[in-house]
Amino acid sequence: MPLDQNTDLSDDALLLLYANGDEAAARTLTLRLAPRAYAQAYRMLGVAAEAEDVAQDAMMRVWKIAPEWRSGEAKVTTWLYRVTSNLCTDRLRQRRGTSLDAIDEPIDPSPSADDVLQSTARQDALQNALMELPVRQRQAVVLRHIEELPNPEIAEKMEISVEAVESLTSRGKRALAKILKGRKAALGFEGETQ
Amino acid sequence: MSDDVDLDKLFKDASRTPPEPSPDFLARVLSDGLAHQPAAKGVMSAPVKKRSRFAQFFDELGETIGGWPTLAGLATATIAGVYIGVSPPESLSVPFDAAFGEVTSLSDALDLGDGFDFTQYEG
Repeated sequence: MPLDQNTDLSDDALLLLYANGDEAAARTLTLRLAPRAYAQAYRMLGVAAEAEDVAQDAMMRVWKIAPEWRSGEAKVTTWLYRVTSNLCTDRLRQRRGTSLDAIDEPIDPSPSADDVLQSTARQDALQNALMELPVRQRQAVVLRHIEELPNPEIAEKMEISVEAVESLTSRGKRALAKILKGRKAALGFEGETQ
Repeated sequence: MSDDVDLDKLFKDASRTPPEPSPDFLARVLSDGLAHQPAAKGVMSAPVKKRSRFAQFFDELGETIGGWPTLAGLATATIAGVYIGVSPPESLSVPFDAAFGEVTSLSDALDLGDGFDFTQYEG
């Protein structure tokens, strides 16, 4: 990232610099944290516009907490993950309140350049299948298999035990396999070795 | 094809191509960050209280002549002068008489000679 000039600094140090008025730190934090929050929100919500809203809101909380941030007490990324997760849960709850059908809406069909790049048929199918999982299973599966985090770190982020993580990922993966079994054509696996 | 193979491949693809936010989104986030950024330390200033003209006059006077210690000394000297003028202590008349004798006017005291009168200098 060409604009990320402070790549060797920790998130804690960047927050401190930001709180002391360093504009470069604001840029670096944006480039480092906002895409993470967005990706997490997108995986949980399945709609780009909503994911951007949630990620922007989560980042706003980063800016506001910066002056009070205590280095070493918690990881910035873990804190941000929880904030984003809570905001996503609120969104999903609101959706449930407005329309039961809205939960399983397909992913955002808006034809932006980024969407075209990222939305291959397989990824769409995976995202749609993820959206059919219960929220906690979805979170655990995304963190374990897509973010490729170790179970203890997932447990810390989700504030549950490692055993609970294992259970969630295992059930989530089974449910995903079941959902995707009948969608081989959409996945483009029809002609592959059985 | 087993379900596991399908999923592993899908997960790997998803991991390699995370959903990327739009440049507009990043610009909005950065704009929020800069708008909410605390001012750099060292250039922050306390809010200045508005003072009345009367108070400002004494502030400026105090600064000009050396602050409150000077003002206090000046006030003490003024009060002492007024007191001495109104009610001069006995001890003061002794050296005054010794210096000037029994005089009734400033001309006598200065002994300017006969015929001299301050009024001749008046226009």
